Formats: sequence, C-alpha cells, structure tokens
Amino acid sequence: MQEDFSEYNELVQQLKALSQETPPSDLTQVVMGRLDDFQHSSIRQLLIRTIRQTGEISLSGFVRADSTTRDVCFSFFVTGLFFFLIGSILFCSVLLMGYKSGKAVLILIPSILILMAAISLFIGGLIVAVDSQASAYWAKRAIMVYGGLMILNVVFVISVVQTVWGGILALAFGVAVIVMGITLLKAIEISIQGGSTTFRKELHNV
Amino acid sequence: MDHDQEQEIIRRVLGGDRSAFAGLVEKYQEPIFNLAYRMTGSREDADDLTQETFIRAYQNLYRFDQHKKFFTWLYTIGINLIRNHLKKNERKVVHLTTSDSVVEHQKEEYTKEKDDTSSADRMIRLEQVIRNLPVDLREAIILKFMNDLTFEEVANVTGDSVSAVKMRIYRGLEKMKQMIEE
Repeated sequence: MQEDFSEYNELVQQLKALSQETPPSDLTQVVMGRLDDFQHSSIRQLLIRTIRQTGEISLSGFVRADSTTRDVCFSFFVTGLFFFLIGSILFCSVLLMGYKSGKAVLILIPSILILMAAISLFIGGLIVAVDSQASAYWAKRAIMVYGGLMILNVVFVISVVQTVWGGILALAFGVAVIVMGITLLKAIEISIQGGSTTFRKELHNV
Repeated sequence: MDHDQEQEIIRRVLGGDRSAFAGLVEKYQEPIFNLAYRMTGSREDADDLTQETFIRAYQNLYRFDQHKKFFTWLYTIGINLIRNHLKKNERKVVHLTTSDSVVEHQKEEYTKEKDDTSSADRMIRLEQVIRNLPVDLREAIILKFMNDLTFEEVANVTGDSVSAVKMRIYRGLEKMKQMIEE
C-alpha cells in the first residue's frame, strides 16, 4: 500500500471534484430556534453552570450589577432565608418534643416542606445571580416549586388543625405565600426586560 | 473565522450568549451537511442529522476541551449520529438507492457545471459507488477526500489509529475502483 495513494490519483481527483451540496438556507435559523426549546429543558446543564459560575460572583460585581438584578436576587435570598428560619425552628421543635411522639409528625412534615421551599428559592436566587436572562425560565419554575410546596403545607395544616381559627391562619399564611411568589415573578419579568448586568460583571444581551 | 475567534464564540456561548452559537453553525453547516448527505444519500436525512449535530454540540459544549479543535469534536458528534442513523435504517436499503428523479436532477446539475454529459455520468456513477461502500470505508473516504481532513484528523474523528484510517482509505479506494470497472 502506497501511503500517498498515487495509484488512485485519478479516482481521488474525481472524488475531490464532486460538487458540494448546499444546505437549506434556513438551517441556521432552524437550529437556533431549536436551541430556544432546549434552553427551557436543560435544567441539569443550567444547574451545572450555576454551580460553576457561583464562584465568580464578586462584591464589586454585586455593587456594579444594576438595581433590578440586585433586587431580584435579594428578594429570593431574603424570602428563602425567612422560610429557612421558620422551617428550622419547626424542625428543631420536633427534637424538643421528642421525635418518638406521634404528634411530632404533624410538625415534621410542614417543617420539611418549608425547608424544601426555602432551598428552591435559594437555588432560584443563585440562578438569577449567575445568569439573569437565560435562567429566568428556571427561576420562575423555582418559584412555582416553592408555591406548590407551601400550598401543600397549608392544605396539610388545615387538614390536621381542624379548627376555625387554625384554618383561617393557615389560609392567611397561604395567601401571603402566594403574594410573595407573585412579587418574585414580577421582579424576574422586570429584570429580563432590560439589559441587566449579572453579578459576574457580564452584560447580558437581551 | 480563525481559532481565536472561534474560542471567543465558545466562551461567549458558555457565558450565556446563546445567539453567538449561530456563528459556529454558519461556519460548519456546509461540511457537516455534506458529510451527512454523502453518508446517507438523502437531503432530508442530512438536514435532520446536521441540525441534530449542532443541537448536541450546544448541549455538550461545557464538556468541550477548548485546547482541542472544535471542528474535530463537531465532526465526531456528527459521525456518531450518522452511524446510529444508518444502523437504525440498515434494513431500509431503499434510502441509499437513489431514485430516478434524483439521478436525473444530479445529471442536470453536473451537466450544467461541466457542460459535458459523459463527465456528468461519471460523477453520478461515482456518487452511487460511494453510497454502496460499507459504512466504515465510506466515512473514511468522505472525511479524507471530500471534507479535506488530514489522516490525523480523520483518526481523531473516527476514534481509530492513523494506520487504521490509512488502511481503511486504501481498501475503500480499491473497492471503488473495482465497482467502477464492473
């Protein structure tokens, strides 16, 4: 076998002379359109990127980020912290009551639901902090997870307490949760309407 | 677009600027489409496979080693998709048989280009011969002579050694010569 394939020169020249097929003229458009759909579906890639990029959040970036982005992140983190405190207090009270007590379950379940809701808000806040444009979709989903868990919590409390005042308080809590969720959603919408700067000091193209 | 510009685009895409990816699609759509077309014999399949190649590249861009060449990585994705596609369709031999209308169209195109009907017939015959090659020989021939990759690049794309690639190309050319002479 000759490495330069000289015995097949004519055939090689014919191969190289074969005409190139032109791809469809809208191929780039179609691909970019499909990426749009993908962007909304790849939570795993987004979370990986969020974890990687969280380390790039800097104090100077925080100061330089436009106020809308700062407010959105601040709202997520503060709301998350609030519910984390409530959930932690409830969870710790289970330990004080004695976890073997049958009634402990009635407090344990709401505490876990509230802690999970708090974590979803923290994750939403981080996602907004590292990429306020592309991850708006998933930040909204984080709020929906939070809302769903809290409503589940309210339903559970109402079903357990079974008194008028208990029900009213639980419902009031539920309404407050929903109002907070709507406020966070609106904050995200406002932040993605303008050219916001992320905490990683990158101007996001809108 | 040089290597540095390409790296800059990749960096921007990984930073969240999705629209920057269009630059890479524009640059590589023709070679990827041609590879898929030559391998499958169908424009529709080539279109689907080309789109899928870029989608997969975008999905996995965070895994791409930026010290390496992007187009080699992209070709690898493309070749794997094409192989899977051909494997899935290997019973459907029909799709590799060019229909009469496509042959007529190709003949018209070559006659326009070369202004020579016998040359056009030779080109069409050559295309048919390529399509009748076994998949592993076909991909080596196409990557080397139509996509103009070096032996090392073909080896990186196909996952073989350079010597295996050369042997495959040699066998492919030999087989093509026999089929043409028949």
